[in-house]
Amino acid sequence: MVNDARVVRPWNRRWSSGAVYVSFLFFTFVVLLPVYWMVRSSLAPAADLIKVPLVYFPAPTLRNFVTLIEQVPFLDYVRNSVVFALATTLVTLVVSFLAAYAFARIRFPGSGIIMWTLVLSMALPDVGTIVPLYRILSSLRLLDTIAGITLVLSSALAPFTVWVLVSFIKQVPYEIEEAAIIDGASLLQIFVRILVPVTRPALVTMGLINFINAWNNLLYPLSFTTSPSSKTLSVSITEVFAGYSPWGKPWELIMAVGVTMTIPVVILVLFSQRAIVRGLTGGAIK
Amino acid sequence: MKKTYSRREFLQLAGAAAAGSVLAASTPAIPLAAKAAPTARKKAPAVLTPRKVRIAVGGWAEQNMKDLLAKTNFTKDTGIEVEVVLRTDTKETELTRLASAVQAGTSPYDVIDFEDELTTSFSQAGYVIGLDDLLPADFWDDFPPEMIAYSKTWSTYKGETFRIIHNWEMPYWWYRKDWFDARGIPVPTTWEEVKPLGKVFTDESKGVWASEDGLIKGAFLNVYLAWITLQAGGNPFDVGPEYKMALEYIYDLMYTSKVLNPASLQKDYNQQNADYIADKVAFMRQWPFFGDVARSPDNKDWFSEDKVAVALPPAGPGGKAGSTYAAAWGFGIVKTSPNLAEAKELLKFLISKEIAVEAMKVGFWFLSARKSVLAAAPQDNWLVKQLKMYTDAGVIGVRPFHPRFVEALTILEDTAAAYLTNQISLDESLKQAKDRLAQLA
Repeated sequence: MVNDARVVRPWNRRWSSGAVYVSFLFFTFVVLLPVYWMVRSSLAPAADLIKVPLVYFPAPTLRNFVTLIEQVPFLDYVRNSVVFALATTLVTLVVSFLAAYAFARIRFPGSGIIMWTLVLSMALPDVGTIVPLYRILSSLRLLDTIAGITLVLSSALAPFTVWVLVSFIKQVPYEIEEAAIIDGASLLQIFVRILVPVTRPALVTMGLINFINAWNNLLYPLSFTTSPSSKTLSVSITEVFAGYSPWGKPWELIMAVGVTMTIPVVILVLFSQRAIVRGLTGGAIK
Repeated sequence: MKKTYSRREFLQLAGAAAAGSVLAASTPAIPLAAKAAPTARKKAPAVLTPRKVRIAVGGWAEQNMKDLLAKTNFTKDTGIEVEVVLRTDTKETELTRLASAVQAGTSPYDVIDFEDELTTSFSQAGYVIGLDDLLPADFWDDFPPEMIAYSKTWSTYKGETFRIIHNWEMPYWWYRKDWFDARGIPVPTTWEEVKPLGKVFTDESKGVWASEDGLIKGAFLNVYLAWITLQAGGNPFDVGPEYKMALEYIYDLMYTSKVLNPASLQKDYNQQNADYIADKVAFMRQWPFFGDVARSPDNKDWFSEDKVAVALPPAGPGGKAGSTYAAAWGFGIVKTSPNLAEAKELLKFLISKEIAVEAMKVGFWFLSARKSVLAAAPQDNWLVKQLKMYTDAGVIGVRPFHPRFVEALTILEDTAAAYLTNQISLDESLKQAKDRLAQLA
């Protein structure tokens, strides 16, 4: 009798798996609908955006992208975004990796406090740091430069990256490093030949997260850059305009910027999917 | 033999490199030639130092400004190079950008083209400099009384002028002349004459309304509240009897007379314009940009002059002198500008009578009712005709002002929207507005 009660009847199993699939479908629909709407709006004539009844499948046109290129120095902004995102990713990873190694392997007085101070700094609202950062960049003569915003964002992203990498490096048995030292390896060789390959999933994941953060960041480029030689693509959202006045809101152009900003991220995520999953789950297993 | 490094050595090396980079970056950038021969740098003639100034304008005005500067040889005559940079399209983002810069003692640009709301914020915060010393004695003689009254309210703080306006435009009363003519109905001239038009034009089953507006919260609704309260003879921020009358009138238009589409409370200007062009609206209040939208190639199949006719707004109890109001954009100088002297020269140049006229010829972003500008404007142009019609008729009042405009408008919008969507009573709406505005003061 007891065993019978535990048996899951086939119809019951089908029903529950069907419910799961329906839930997944619903969830996917909810997640993808805004994406569809963004793409659809970027390809629609402005007049079709606000028609009632809604136009779900407008005749596609690339005119919004052409207008976008005409209104803002689009190629300059794309180039700046690429340089900014790559540089931020690289600087953050290098600095954070070295810091994480120190926290994971070297015992020094106050290391715990420093680590937690670093982690707590993540709670600081970005906008609250703008004025002091402006002063620092001004005195370093890095205002209105890509180097300036790279420095600022790297410092903002480093705490989280360090936090994640510390747990990864701690999982690597120290005996491996000791063996390498006995074999005559330098610290640099230990980094390059042992630690980097072993922690690669975490590095790839954090690299990707940092790249996306930098690519999408609006606050720092908006606050610290002024000229087309340093502004990034995200700032163009605040610069596109409808007609020749400030009154209307050019949603079709804003959506075109949105699509342009989303495409590289989607491609990156698709190509690094496996590494991201390994990176995100790896640190959780002891 | 291969050299190996201990961890301590590595960390020392890395620390030294990082400290070196920071120190190198923080050292003032001196040209190599100057480092080699410091005395030569000291003796360099002043003329070698290029004089520069940066002006920030909205994207819609960028090309106009560049064309104006090229056409008028400002750089050639003064030796000052002007860089035109883009400011953001919203007051909030621009405030964020400039506030941090000014507090850090610098500025990303020297001269800015800015709107009413930012003028209030910037002048009260001390972010922009007073301009009265830069103005010729007869400067204001070139302005009509309406623009002077407007400037005194919106461009000054504690008696000092912080912005010189170059763009001055008002909501117009647009109507379908073809529809009015077909029904043999005259254009309404008073509030009372508007009310019966619901029965004439509104057909809810077809989604057609006599009138519609963009009244979504986020400064849209406030424009309409200010417009109607001004017609009633008051300032909405006083929450006085005129404001009460204005709310009652709007409510009547929406629910009793069925003139104004209540869905306006969820619409912005884009949707309002689209509905008008979709033949769903007989008349509406709208800024002049609608004229450009209606005349754009996208709407060439729909457009005809009698579909976008303009008449004077129906006068309210306050009389025709306050039938509408103007808003403006103008130039100011950032207090922490790194090129203050050059900025003053550029501003003096831009606001001079001759250059103001040239600017209008370059683009209508620089059109206003300034006497010399309006006299030189092409009289057959639709926008110039409308501006003249309104100024000649004396229907332009001063835009209702509050010293803490942005916060105050949010309060009015919240309380008015709650009443207009039947969530609270009129008395409750007025009480809340009054209490919250009092707290703000």
